[in-house]
Amino acid sequence: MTTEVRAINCPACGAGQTIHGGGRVQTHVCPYCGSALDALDDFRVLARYTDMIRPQTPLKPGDTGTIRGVAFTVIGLIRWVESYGGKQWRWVDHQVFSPTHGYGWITVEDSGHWSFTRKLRVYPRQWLTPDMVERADDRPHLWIGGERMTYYETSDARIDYLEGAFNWVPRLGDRATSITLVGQGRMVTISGFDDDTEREVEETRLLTREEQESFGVAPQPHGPHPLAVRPRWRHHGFVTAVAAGFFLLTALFGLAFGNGDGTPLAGTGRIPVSDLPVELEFETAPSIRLVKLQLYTDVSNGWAWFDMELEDEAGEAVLSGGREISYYSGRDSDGRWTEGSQRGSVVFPVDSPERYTLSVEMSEYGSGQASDQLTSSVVDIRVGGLRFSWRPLAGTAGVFLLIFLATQAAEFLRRGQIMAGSDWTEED
Amino acid sequence: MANCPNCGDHVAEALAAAPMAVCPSCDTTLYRLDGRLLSAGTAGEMHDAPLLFGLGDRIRVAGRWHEAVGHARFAYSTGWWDEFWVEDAEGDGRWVSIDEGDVVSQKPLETPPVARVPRRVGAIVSFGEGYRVTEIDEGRCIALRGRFPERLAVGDTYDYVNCMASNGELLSGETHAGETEWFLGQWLDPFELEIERA
Repeated sequence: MTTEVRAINCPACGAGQTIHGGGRVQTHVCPYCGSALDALDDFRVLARYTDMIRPQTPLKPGDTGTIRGVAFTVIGLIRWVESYGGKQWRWVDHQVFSPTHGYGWITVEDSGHWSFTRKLRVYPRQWLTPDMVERADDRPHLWIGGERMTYYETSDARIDYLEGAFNWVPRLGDRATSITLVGQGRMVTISGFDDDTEREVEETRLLTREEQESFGVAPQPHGPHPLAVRPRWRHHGFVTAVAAGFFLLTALFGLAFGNGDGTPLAGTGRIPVSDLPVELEFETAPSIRLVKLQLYTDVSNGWAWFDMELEDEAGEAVLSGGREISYYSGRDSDGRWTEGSQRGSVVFPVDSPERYTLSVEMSEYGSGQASDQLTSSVVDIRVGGLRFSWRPLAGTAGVFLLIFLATQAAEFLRRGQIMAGSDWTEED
Repeated sequence: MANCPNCGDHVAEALAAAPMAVCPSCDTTLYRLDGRLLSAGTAGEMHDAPLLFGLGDRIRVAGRWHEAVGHARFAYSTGWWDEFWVEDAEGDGRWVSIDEGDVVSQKPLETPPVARVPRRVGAIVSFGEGYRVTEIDEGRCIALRGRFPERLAVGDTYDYVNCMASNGELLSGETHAGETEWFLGQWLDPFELEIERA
């Protein structure tokens, strides 16, 4: 560390200037004549960069602001140019310095967003290189600091403008290759892809409005940025897990206990319709809450109406009603068709334990709309005990499934917005 | 009860019992020999400078709160860095060095590398998974405050070598008076470091 703010006269052009940036400054590039000076060797001239055109940027060396509660000073600026497929992208990085928190970068993006990048000392177990990205069948990922980061882009950029102080030795025309991955509210850029280069991991976050305004510039974002997409709903993980869990739970519970015909309580077997009416006696166990009556008759191109009455042990009618079963079939120009069913069921609540008598009678029948022709010959009546009805359970499972799908769909759309600018294509 | 041999002021037991301490009254460095406190000279000028934390502050390292009880400052080729000796509630200590946002917590290695101290940046130290030398320089102690687990003196010089593993672990070798000590530790994030001011 050094608390000195050094003032020098450029040995090439004589212009007086201030060197901001602490003890790690290695190079200072004179903003007047473009001379690169060696800060570690009495500011001797390392190189001269003429014909540089200063980029439009709202910041200059010496400007100060506050990021995450820490005061930073702009010490240098550097413009990068990336060319690909006949297009060019340019952006300006401003090196900033804090005596307590070290060095970082403020980048003013094309989209008007400002981001803050700093070095991380967290290294992934696996490394990723541009060659690995090229060979990958699926979009690559890295785990960094306990977070799964998703590949966003590979950048190969060169320097076309330098000004001020740097804690390294950038040279005009130098190229830098890096891979950027995106996670929750941050991007991580890795570089150093051969044995001779130190591996570096840098984290980028967007500056807040307050942080940007602390540098005296009002935010004016005018384009998309992957970090400007709304953050993941903070309850996403919880809601997804709970919805999925409850869906599975209700579905499994329903399959295990709610499906089927319940515990058999009574039945006629297949009997001729001439045996009707019949009475079925059954007893409900304490766990039985519902009784399901299932009817089958071989009605064909006709209908049958069944009257039902349920009496308790005291002979009191606790339920009465009816159920129509109709079934029609035929063949037309579209082929064979059927309508209706030869089966029907009725579910009704019961008290338990209790002894009941169920009487079933086929009171009416017919063929078509007008004929009273009997079209059925047999009937099969079964009574089963249920602990609950599967319908409300299925409804509940459906609600949880909808919540799960809606949450996932919203996240899918959000991820799509984030990745909209990625250079990854599935054909890669 | 112990008294500073220079100014005669009372020296707190915690300081008097340490292998090395600085008298808070006159900034004389003190060390204990045969039960007596002896003077080892001046503790140097600790110029005010912005610091991530200071003497008496508590920081959370490796899941435990530690108090900064000793503060040493070393000059090197491009400025200075600060070393804090921090101790947890059980008195277990470690070094935390700070230099312009680079913060490292290290403990002395009980079984250090057997290889010679490397003399070239980029060389690999054969220890564990291997550590690449990233920095070689010399540091000179310029100021001391608080207490320390070993004897330090203003003006002492240390040849140091920093080596990094692929997982970010930092191995440092410090050579002083022909003896080399090795330290191993991790980088700390200055933005994430939990600090309780004294």
